[in-house]
This record gives sequence, C-alpha cells and structure tokens, in this order.
Amino acid sequence: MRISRTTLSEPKGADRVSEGTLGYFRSRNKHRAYSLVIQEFKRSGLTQADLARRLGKGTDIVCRWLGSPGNWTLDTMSDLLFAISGAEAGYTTKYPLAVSAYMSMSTMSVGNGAVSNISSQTSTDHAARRDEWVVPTIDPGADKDPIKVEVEPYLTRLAA
Amino acid sequence: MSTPETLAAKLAELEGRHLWQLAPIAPEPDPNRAVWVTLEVLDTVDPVQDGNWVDYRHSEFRGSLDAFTNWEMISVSENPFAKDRDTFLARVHPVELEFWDIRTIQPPQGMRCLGGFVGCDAFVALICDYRENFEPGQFDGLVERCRARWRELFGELTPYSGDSLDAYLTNYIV
Repeated sequence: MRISRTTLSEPKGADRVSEGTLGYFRSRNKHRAYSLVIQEFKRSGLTQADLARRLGKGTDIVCRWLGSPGNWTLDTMSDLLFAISGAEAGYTTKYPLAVSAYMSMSTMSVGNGAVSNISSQTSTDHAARRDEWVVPTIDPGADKDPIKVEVEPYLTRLAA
Repeated sequence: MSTPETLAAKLAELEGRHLWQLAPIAPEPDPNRAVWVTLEVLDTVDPVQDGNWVDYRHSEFRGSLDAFTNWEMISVSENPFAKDRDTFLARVHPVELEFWDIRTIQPPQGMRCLGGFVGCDAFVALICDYRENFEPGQFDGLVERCRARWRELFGELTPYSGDSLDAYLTNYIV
C-alpha cells in the first residue's frame, strides 16, 4: 500500500497559495528541469570539460551545475541546454494536482488493479476532466491518519 | 549479504506497521522507484504543512523524495569523501554498511535522509535531520542512528548490495 496524507489543492480565487505548496512545486520543478538537462547531456556524449569550454566556465562550476539544480536560474538552464546540443526547453502546462486528485479518487474507489486505468485516463483533456472531479482541499495537520492511496505491486516486483 | 527476496519478505512484514511506502503528492503515471519511510520520516514530510520556515524546508525535502519516486534523473556519488557538495544521493561512510544519504540541498542548509536499498530503485528512508545539526566529524552519530534503526527493523538482514551502481539505480548520473 502506498500512502500520502498530503492533499494539495489547486489555487482558487484570491486565496493565498501556501508556502508548503509553493516549496513542493519549486522542488518538483527543479528536479524536472534537471532531468531534462542531464538526459540531454548523457545523450550528447560530451565530457564536463568539453561543456565547460563551450560555456567559457570553469569545470568546477559546470560540475556543480550538473550535480544539482539547486542554484540554477532560468538562464543556467538555457545555457546548459543550448551548449550541450543546441537545444531549448519546450514548454507545456500540466495540472498535476488535478491528475493527483483523480488518481487518489480512482484508486480509493476502484482498489487493486486501478493503476493501469490511471495511465490511460490521465492523458485526457484537463479542462474536460476538471468539471468531473472534486479536488480535495489541503487540511494541514488535521487528521494524521494515513490515507491509503493505492495498491503498489512493488513488493511483488522486488521478490520476483 | 541479504537477497532482495529476503528483504522483500521482511518489508512485507513491516509495511503498514513500521514502514510505509510513500506515494508522491503529484505522481507521474508510471513512477519507477519506490521509497518506504519510517514514522520519523513520514511525520517530517507528510502532510506538507503551511506554516513556518521549518515547514517550508520539509516541503522541499518531500519534493526530493517524490523526485526519487517519480523517476527523475538523480546525481549519485559513491565516494563519501569525494562527492560534489550538491549531489542528490551519496554513499555514507563506512561504505560496507550500505547506507546512503538522500541530500536535500535547498533551502540552505538543507536536510539529510539516511537509509538503505532493498532492491534496485527501492529505498528505505530510516532517519532524517537538518544539516546544521552536525558539523564535519559529527556525521558518525547520524550513521549510528541509521544503523540502529535498520537493526531494529530488519534484524540481522543487511541492506541490499550490488556490484555497481546499475544494481541500485536506474536513471542516474555520476
């Protein structure tokens, strides 16, 4: 069983978005940007020294950038992507909380075996889905009982 | 050396009572890694709270654990004494113990989360602490806490051990 007691809500009206929510999505955004750049770097076959030369930076700086997205700016990401392979980031918007809420509701109601259904349904249009879902609101620190979200076949995989 | 089969069997015993598999807040359709957490870690990262600076740090830490589960690319260092200061996952000294550190760098001074693998892409997060709580040379105390917690839960079983990083992880960079 996988659990999460956190349910973050999408922004509503003029309500202030919580710092916790912002922090979580900043972290998520950094990791996703990092994945994109490092996948490009691995595909390129470049060495860190090559990349440093292309950027006119010290190897230590480039090495640090490739180690973590912690202190990246948008310019860092742009510089890295372009210097690695002449690439730029392609931007699309996603609504992960809407998907998350949907996944939780699906798995809680359908139970075992629901995971495969999720994959096929998360790609449907966000706007169309939004009307169908009730997006839970955050209730930090209220009920600390774990909510069982979905059945996870990982133990089976691990033992296989 | 414990096998993934024996570790999985033990994990099944512990799950729901002492260890919980953490679900990402915003999961990707096909998360490809798994993290089990102790109550100590669970209470730190879940639920994400809106409050003070500490809560903000915890939410970034939760972001790190979810990045692991959501199969984001991660940087790894195998040498505890020669690692990039920003590396995401680092082996802990002494390496024979097979403990690893998930390192949340932002916001400064960051947080550390120690645990061991139970299979490829399957990590058990045992303890966590704020980086400023241990100066260089004081890390051993944290490792000792980790070792004690592992023993409490897994007894004589040892963490999963592999010949190369590929045995522990997919989608990583050294």
